[in-house]
Order: sequence, then structure tokens, then C-alpha cells
Amino acid sequence: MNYNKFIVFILFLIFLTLNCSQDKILQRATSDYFPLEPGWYWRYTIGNDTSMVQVISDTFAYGHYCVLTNRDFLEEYWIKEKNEIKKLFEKKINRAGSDFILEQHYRLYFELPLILGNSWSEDFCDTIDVLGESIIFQHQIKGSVEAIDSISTPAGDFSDVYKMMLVQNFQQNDSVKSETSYYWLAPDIGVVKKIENDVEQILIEFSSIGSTNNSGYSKSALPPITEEKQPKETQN
Amino acid sequence: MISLIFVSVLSFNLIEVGARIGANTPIGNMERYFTAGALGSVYLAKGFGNNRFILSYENCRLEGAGQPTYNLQLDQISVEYCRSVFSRNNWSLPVYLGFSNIWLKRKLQSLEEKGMVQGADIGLGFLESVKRVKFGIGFFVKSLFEAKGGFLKIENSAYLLSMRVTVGYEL
Repeated sequence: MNYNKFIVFILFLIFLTLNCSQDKILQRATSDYFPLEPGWYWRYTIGNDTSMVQVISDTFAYGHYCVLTNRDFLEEYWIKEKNEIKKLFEKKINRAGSDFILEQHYRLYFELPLILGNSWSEDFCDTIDVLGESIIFQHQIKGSVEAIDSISTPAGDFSDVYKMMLVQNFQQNDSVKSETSYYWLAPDIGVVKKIENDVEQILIEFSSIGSTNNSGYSKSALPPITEEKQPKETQN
Repeated sequence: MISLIFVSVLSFNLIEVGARIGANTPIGNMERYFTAGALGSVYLAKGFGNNRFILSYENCRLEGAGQPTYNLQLDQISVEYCRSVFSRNNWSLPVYLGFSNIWLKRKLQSLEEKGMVQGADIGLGFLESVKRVKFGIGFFVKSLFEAKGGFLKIENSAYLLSMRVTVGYEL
């Protein structure tokens, strides 16, 4: 055995490693792209205004254990499982001063794990009798992982960001509507950018429990939000 | 990979070939996403007294936790240094220190993402020689890490516990 040859071989292996160490697949495999721990909050800029999302608590609503979040003081309910993230969708119609529910259940929002090229679709169709009128309601949600991206925001620069596309198609009798949203999800941060109905939201600040990113805004400055066990209003 | 093995064969002046089977179990931040998976490995080794150098190729597949269609595949080439800390008659207790390049594949049905990370192994084993055949078992902690611009800037890391049963033949 020639020790010099062996040392050359080791150096070759190290050289190979140093030249190929820029990929972040391990980060993508072990990161949470949609954290929902109570205490987290995110603040976004929308034009000249801001929007805030805060995780309030674990709770039980509409027959499921879920996570209650607050988006600009409107409640949202999420279920996070190993292979999917579901959101409570509620659609009502008002007739003669009364609300009639067209849709009220948890729907597939993101399929996990996030892998480039993955896509999913979920359909809902129901016929509801409203004061003698028969209403056919359809709601289709289609999602896909569009790209792995890097993105700069006022809250920081993020790499290995998954760009997601979500298309929602609504049909109520003959009336048809389609909404397309784009989400950029950063590892262990969550949504850092969102385009919904051509309105862009960009993260300017976020905080996990006990830490704050960006300057001048601490958790103690947040408006107090009380925990509510029974849902009052949910916005799709 | 083939060229690496070819270079190693020339460098090692081969005296032992063998195979390993075992299992890797993720711990820490990996535990939430993956469960234990079987591993298979082939190796070439050269000994110098109490010291052995081992070059191995290993394949392992970690199943997704609660997701049967998702898995993480590890293909790695390792160089290990092995030193016997205690020996008596024809058996010994070796400690292992290894360094590896690991090709990762995240697979979800027909979709996959590929990348490469580095790994380091530290372990303790038992090795017994019966004539020219060697039997062994080893317990390892394997770390996977992603470095930026060198080893001094480790950005992400993950850990596996590993157990390997070895059978080798001295040429």
C-alpha cells in the first residue's frame, strides 16, 4: 500500500465534495414549509397597507382538531397532517335575510411533501335547496408546485423557496368564477410572498415564539386577540 | 462513482472485500418526516496492524413517515478509518471514523428531486475473524450536512442512527 496514493485519493474526494456542496436538498427534506405553531405571526405589505396573520391556538372546530389563525382579525381554520394541509372553506348565500350554507368543510390546500412538479386537485359539488330554489354549487381546487426559487423580501432573503399555484374554480348554477393564487413558501418560515387576484403581498416581518425578525416590532406590541373555541366567521 | 472505485482499487492494493446489511433510523429533525430504512453496502478494505481503511458504497432508503409513496434514497461513497481499541485472540473492538459523499433523492411516486450532501460517521463495532472470513457488527451515528463554501459553514444537518452487520473475506 502506498500511503501517498491513499492521501491523494482522500484529497480528491474532499475536492469533489467542496465543489458540489451548494445544493440544499437536505434543507428541503427536513424543513417545515407551513409552520402553524401558536405564537407565530407574519406581517405583509399590500401596496400601502399591511396585513397580519397570527397563529392563535390549537382548537376544535367543525368536527376536527385544527389550528386557529387570525388574518386581519378574521378567523381561519387549518388542519395540518403529514401528507396535507387543509383549510376550512365556508361559502354562504343570503336569501330573504337568512344565510344558507353552500359549502362548509375542510378542503385540501397543499399536498405534502412539497416536491417540484407535484400537483393535486379536489372537487366539491352539491345541490342545495334554498327557499324552493335548487342551487347547484361546485368548487374545484387545483394546486401545483411550480418552481424552486430564491426570493428577497424586506424580512430577509430566502432560498429553496417553493412557488405554489392554487386555482379555485367556482360554479353556482350558471355563474362561473375562477381565482388564481401564487404562494412562495420558505423553509421553516412559511408564506413569504403571495399573489392573490393580482394583489401582491410580501413579507416584511415574522416572528416565532420568543424571536422577532426585522426591526421595531415586538410581540408585546401586537393587538391582543382572545382565544375562541367556537368559530364565528370564516373568510375563504 | 465507478471511477472512484477504480481509483480506490488501484490505491488500496485490495486485501478484503465484504458486504454489509443493516438499518438507518432518523433522529432529530429528520424523525418527523422519515422512518427507519434498510441499508445495503459493499466495501473494500486494507489493514495495517490495528488500523484499517475501508472504501464502501452504501444504499439506503428511508420511508416517508405516514406517506407510503414518499421516500428518501441515500447513495453514498465512504472512506472510513477503523482502529481496533481492544483485541483478544481472533476478535476485536474497532472504532470507526468515516467521511462520505451522499447523493440524495427525494421521491414521491414518479417525481424526484436530487442533490448531494456530505456525511460523517462515528461508530463502535465488534469484529471476529474465522480463518479468512470476518464477521462484524457496528453501531454508528451518521451526520448529514450541507455546507456552504466549505466545511466551516455548515448550514443544515441531520442525523441517523445506524446498525450494520458485516461479512468480509480476506483475499
